[in-house]
Amino acid sequence: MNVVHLVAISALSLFGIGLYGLWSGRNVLRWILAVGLMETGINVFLVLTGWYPGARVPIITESFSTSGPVPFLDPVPSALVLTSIVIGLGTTTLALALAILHARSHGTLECEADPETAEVLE
Amino acid sequence: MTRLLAALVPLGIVGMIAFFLFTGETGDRMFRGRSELGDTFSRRAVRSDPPNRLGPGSRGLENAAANTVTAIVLDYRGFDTLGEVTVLFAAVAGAGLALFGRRRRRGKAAPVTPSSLILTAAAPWVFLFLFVVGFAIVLHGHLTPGGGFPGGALLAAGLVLLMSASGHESSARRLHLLEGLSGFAFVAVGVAGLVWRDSFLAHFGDAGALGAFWSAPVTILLYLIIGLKVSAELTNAVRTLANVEDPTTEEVP
Amino acid sequence: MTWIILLVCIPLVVGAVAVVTVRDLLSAIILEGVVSLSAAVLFLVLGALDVAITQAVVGCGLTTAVFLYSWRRLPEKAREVSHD
Repeated sequence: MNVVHLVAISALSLFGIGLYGLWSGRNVLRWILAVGLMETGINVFLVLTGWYPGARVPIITESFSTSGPVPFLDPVPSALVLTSIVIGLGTTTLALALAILHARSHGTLECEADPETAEVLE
Repeated sequence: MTRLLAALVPLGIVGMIAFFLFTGETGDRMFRGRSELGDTFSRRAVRSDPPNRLGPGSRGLENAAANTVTAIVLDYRGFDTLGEVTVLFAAVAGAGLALFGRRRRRGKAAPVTPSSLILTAAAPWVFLFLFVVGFAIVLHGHLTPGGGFPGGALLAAGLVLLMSASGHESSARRLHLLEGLSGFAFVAVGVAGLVWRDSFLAHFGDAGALGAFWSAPVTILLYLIIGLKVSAELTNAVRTLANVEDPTTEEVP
Repeated sequence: MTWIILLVCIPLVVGAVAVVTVRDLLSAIILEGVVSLSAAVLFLVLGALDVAITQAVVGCGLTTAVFLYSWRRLPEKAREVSHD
């Protein structure tokens, strides 16, 4: 058990909390918030996979010079997460637009469960 | 019952993932930190042999951007970034379509709330500041952390601020033109890479010395394009959500 | 170094729990911003500076702004606290 594992647990629990929020509520805006939480958790987890104690920032600065392996944080997950964050904003915007549409046509953000599904769950 | 299920199922899923990660060989491999792939990218040795020395002033590299993440995002994984910008465009356009749709033709604008004196007085100065900082971040994307996405978001923040201070929206047509032109420029740079080098979006021309401002000129150009595109895109997104008509006057279709 | 990382994890998880449990929608939106900001600080401490800046500006700033803009445009009834 070390730092990596604790941060990984935090990231995973963020994912789990988001899943719970998605599952428990009926409010559309809350669903979007929950998906955002899951996304944050996954992003943290991905960046963490490239980290190790003593990893340096993946930028070549003045004092840096090497001919062997590079002591950087793995830059590939960082690049992936960079993409993911921006796409997250786009999808959130689209989801919010749809939520506003729903709220206007139904007058509320609450979503009612399909009667048959509700029967099964009760 | 439902609530208990809602709590138990995520717990089970997360617990299962955690179990596999922390006990087996997968976890060891996952949390080793370094990967051969990352090292190859860090040393700019994907298409050719690694250089003898990697450091400030190194010449003849595949990509001379000092920031490794920038080199990956715009060069090695440039096609993915093109897809990302496309997704952003599609999402924002979809939001606009969903909210306005046919209604735009009627020309019914959202009611304008008068902006406060503080906002009107401070907006031009704050905009100036955001504009300068945003462009600085965009143009130094190959040397320092940041780059086109946060820089473009800062530019968009400035534009939104100016919009909400002046009360009237900036011309939508100009924003769409900027979006289209920068998207086209992105693809054009990619095709130029295909023509002069081996692959789409490959860095062509002289890469320059690593660490200098004029290193990796194609990367600078691409980040500038992305910065402009992202700023137009995000301004559009906020404009779309802010200009939705007041729901109290809305009749249910 | 280690304890900073652990210190940042606390608002991350506590904020996330608060997002799904708090009753007021506006509070939930602001708390989501807090979670995003903690994630940005965590990225900073881990050394992923590019990701940290992008998360702070896009994930924390703009996403919250977009949420607030759309919250303001919701019908009055939809903004109310849900009673389920």
